[in-house]
Amino acid sequence: MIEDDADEQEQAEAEALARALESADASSTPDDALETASLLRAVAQPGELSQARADAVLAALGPAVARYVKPQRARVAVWIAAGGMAAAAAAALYLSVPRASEPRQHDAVAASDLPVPAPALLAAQSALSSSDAQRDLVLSRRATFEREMRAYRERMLSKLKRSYPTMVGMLEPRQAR
Amino acid sequence: MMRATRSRMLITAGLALALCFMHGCSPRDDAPDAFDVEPSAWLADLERAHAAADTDPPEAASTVLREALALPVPPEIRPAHRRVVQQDLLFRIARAELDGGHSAAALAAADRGLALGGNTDIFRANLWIVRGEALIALGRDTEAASSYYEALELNRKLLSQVLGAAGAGTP
Repeated sequence: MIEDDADEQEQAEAEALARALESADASSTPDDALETASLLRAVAQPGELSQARADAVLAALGPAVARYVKPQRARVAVWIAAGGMAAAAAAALYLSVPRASEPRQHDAVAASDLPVPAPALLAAQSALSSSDAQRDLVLSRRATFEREMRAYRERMLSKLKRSYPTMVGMLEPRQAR
Repeated sequence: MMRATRSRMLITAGLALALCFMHGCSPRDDAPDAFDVEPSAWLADLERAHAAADTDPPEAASTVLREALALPVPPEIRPAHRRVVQQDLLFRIARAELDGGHSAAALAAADRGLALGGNTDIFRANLWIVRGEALIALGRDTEAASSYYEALELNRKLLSQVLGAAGAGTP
């Protein structure tokens, strides 16, 4: 059975609690009313902890706790960095390994280090480009061109041999391209 | 928890290393690997093939030149060198096919050589000429004229470079 007539003290406490719930002004509010108001607020907003409050709690706990929190983040960062470096190294390795079977077509690099063709060879080549000559003349021009071209080919292969000398032993590093 | 994750990562890395090792040590095909060929040996093979083609009849010359073309190119050989060497082989193959009466094969070899690219050099000009000859033999005169034109353009540029370089030192 509930007693309707509350005494004066109970009424004053109820008013103080009401004031504490309405405002955060604690100057004229008894401590037990403030505690009760805090409990009621906490029940109304379960599990919520603002970032500012969390930082404040962490700061209050001191560096002893922070030591266990920060290394965890640092370790994650180290793993991420290591993973990134490993991926970069794998990509660099993949790109640096030459693939012999891959056709290297359309290289725009001129073979400028090869011997310059002699004017006699170019003249013979030019003469070969005309298709209106008689058969004997064609054969003669072709023989001249092939002689000049053979000499140029020999010079070219000799130069390439000098560019890629024979390795002395298995331990000698192979030339980079 | 962290220790278990680390152990898993170590085991994975170990397995990957083992697989790489097994792949590297596994027996390969009978075909020679380009890494096994020295540039000087490859160049010597090319010289032998060219020397044989100088004296062989067209059919045999084409065969020996095609075998030289199929040789694995050592990885040290720079792309521009590889290209000119292969274009020269293809020019000679086309010429041998033409001499043997195989105009279509000659045209295919010339086109294959030109597809390797390159700039103004004598090997491309040679390929355009033999292409023109193959097209004449096939009765495609207009295309042949176009090929001869390309050859003459390259030849003119080369001659201009050579004469320009030769005349640079003269007053």
